[in-house]
Amino acid sequence: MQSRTKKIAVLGLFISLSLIFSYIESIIPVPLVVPGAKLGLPNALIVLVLYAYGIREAMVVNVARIFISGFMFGNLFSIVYSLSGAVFSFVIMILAKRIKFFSVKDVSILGGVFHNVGQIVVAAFLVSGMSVMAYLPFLLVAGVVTGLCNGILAEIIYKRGIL
Amino acid sequence: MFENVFDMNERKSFLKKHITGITIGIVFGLALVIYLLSMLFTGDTGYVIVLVDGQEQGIYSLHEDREIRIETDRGDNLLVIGSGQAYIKEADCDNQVCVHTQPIKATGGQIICLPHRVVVRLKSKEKSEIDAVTN
Repeated sequence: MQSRTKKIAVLGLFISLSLIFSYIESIIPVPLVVPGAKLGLPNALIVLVLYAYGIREAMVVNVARIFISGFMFGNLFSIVYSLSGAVFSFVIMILAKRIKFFSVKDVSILGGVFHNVGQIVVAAFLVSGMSVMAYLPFLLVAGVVTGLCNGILAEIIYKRGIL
Repeated sequence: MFENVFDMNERKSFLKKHITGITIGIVFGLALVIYLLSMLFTGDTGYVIVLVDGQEQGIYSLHEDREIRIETDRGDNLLVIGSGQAYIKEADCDNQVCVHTQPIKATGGQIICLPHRVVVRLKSKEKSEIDAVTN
């Protein structure tokens, strides 16, 4: 019973922390080749929760984060947009985690890459054109870089075993 | 015996040790392939399409230097095509957003003048804009 209470409290903290990360990211413009590319710091937390707790818990944090940050800093469109990337990346991360030789870092990299792939697929539908696909190679590289950063971060925290 | 076990571990951990590098390599390779493919398909950037109210008003080659006056019921824009890029030089609208838009030179690039409902877009081939709208 006590551990259940602890889990709820910790997950609540994770949601609020990821909201803070979302907020920080929304006010810091990252000058990258691709417009709108972000570090995706909340994803480091998602990876961490995925490893420390499990799929269900990570999904709760993920969905809660997207909706709350969407209502606070964005609009309905941005919710749909980030949800598309998050769902895509989350499914890939669950699958990748099952493969034994993937470490936390690799799962995070794949998550970052497929987050961008998911978003660009949805963007292609919304803008109704394949011209957005020209961004894909840059987004793939950006996904690797951000995924690696987040993965290293998540791995360090996970290996400390404080959760 | 001991050596054998060590060897087994070594072999098992090879994939584990380098999996991050392999993953990154594959994604980078994929990115490069897609980039080269997209270069291949959009290599012949060549047409400037002018849309007014969503209707195709004219189509011009990007490689012939010229100035085009786009006349609409709401106002005029002066489109300049030169040295492989296109931009709006003048517009008699209030916000001047289209004039300040960077020159477009790659396929998919576009300049939009909302007050006059003018869209200037680059296409790789001389095909109807309808295709792009429906798919």
